[in-house]
Amino acid sequence: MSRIALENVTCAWGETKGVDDVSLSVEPGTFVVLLGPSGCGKSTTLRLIAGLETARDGVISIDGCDVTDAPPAARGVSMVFQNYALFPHLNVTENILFGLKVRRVAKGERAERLAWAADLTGLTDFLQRKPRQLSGGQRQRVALARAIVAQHPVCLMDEPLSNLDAKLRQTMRAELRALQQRLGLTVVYVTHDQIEAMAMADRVFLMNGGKVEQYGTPEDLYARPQTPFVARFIGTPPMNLIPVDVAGGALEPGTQGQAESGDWLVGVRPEDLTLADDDGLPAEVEASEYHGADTVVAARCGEALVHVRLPRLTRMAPGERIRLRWRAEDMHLFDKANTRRDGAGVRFSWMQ
Amino acid sequence: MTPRMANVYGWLLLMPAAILLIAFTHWPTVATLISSVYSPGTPVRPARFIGLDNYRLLVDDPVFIQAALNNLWFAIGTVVPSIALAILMAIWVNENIPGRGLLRLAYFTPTILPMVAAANIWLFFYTPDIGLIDQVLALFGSSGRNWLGDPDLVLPSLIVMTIWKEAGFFMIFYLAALQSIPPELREAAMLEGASRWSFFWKVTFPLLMPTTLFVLVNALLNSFKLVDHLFILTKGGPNNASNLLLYYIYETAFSFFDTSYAATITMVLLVLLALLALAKFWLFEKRVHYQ
Repeated sequence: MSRIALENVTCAWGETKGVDDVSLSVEPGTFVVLLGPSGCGKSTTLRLIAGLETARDGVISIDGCDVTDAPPAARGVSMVFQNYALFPHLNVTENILFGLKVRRVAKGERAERLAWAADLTGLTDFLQRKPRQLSGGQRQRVALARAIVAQHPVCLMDEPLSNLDAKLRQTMRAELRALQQRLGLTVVYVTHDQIEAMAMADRVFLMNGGKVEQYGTPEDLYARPQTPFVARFIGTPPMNLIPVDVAGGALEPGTQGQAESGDWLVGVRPEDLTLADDDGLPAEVEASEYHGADTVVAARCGEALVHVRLPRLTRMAPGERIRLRWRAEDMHLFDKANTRRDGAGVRFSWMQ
Repeated sequence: MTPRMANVYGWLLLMPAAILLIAFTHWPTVATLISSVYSPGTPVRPARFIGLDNYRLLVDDPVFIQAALNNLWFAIGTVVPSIALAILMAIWVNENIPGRGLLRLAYFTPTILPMVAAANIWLFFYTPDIGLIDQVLALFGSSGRNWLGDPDLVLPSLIVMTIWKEAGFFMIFYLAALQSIPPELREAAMLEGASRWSFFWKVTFPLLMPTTLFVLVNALLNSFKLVDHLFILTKGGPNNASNLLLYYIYETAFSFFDTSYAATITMVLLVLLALLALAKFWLFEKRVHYQ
């Protein structure tokens, strides 16, 4: 069981900071996802934990030991790379056992562990194949087997599923999660795919610009985004953010061009929007997409484009004028400084 | 178009290349073979068929045997060290070090030089007493060696120069191969605790194998084809101590004017090179460790 902790870690190349004063902690046996857009520093954070990058400032510790300057091999972590990093000239067995051979683990134990790892990952029939003779999914499993055969308590994964097709990705998601729970691994998993994060994680660190933007369970991030960035990043389609003016406790939709316009943002999830007959936020339909279980309508509301998720097939013609409403408790409010304001007590006139 | 016309058309399209190949490659080969089984013709005594006499002569020709042995040592002495050196240099300039571009250029410079120019530079290095090497050695109180005049030193001296000339060229191939190895492999090995040394032997070297084969065969072929430097440095001397097959052929044909004997040695060299080329194709068929 291993606890990973980063304290005020900064990693920079010249003036560019890849990771900027990040602190985070990963509890033993949990599946933690580092989520964010490309270039947000999530991969660098993972590589810092692995020891493949060096921190300029801060302390990295694993299981209570300061490993900030320790070489990768001394940290007791294994890693699954995005492109798997299999040795192309070695067969599956040799790939899985590479590290055990390097560390001079006895032959009998090697064979035992190989059988165990191959069995867990369903590779028993492919042990003699070279990586080029395997499909993408099988290569992925070899990388996974190589990581678990080391029996390190910590496993780092850098976008391990991004090279697989959508269907396989879904299966592997479930398998990875099951494997992690079965072995009690501490997993730090990097991805830019918020669905992966929502589906697998115990905890999510959403990163942006080298900093941790928000940290919490997937439910926290979805239900209570602390910044507009988080609100936009989580959910498909993302949360609608409508610029508004605040005047005497009442909200008015922001009008483009006015000095004070768009100072605050109202956020509403597409599924929380309903169509109203009389009073509500006026909008004009631009397009509608039928997804089977629901229809997502894109409507123009002032300067903002608002997505509305309507159940089943709902026909809407472009140009149609609609009115939108939502409940006060479904409304997220962000102020000028991009922070969440729950207690502001402001509301639209049509809200009860 | 009728099939017959299509045939004619095809042959016409092939003809320019076929004519060039036949005129400058196939016919000379056949002519050499014919020439090797005839005596050299003179206006007084026309050439006559002598069968394998020239080949029998070859077996007893001490100069040919020495040239062949010299060539063998020259091949081994240049190929193995220049490949080892090329790998070392490639790994070195593949690292992220300051002045990397300049270093790569420096290593490649000997390749740009014509062999004749390189030989002239090394002639200056090897000159007894006033040459660069002897002058440097004089600082340590040792000099007066006649590098190119001593039968024991001349072949090693030529080998050293050839390694200098060739290694930079081979380095380019290794550099390209090294850059095609994904950096994650190194990181994965680092996480497993592999040292630089074991990473090189377990991963880098096997992955460089296709390049090594390619370079090996080319270096071997080169060691039999290279002759320019002998004209400048030693002319095969002293006492044939640095004579190589191709130079011996040139001497036989154009200094001793024994064209049919020169043709005989040419055939031997040709067979040797053909065997090397076959080995190359056979090895490449097996495609060692390609991804």
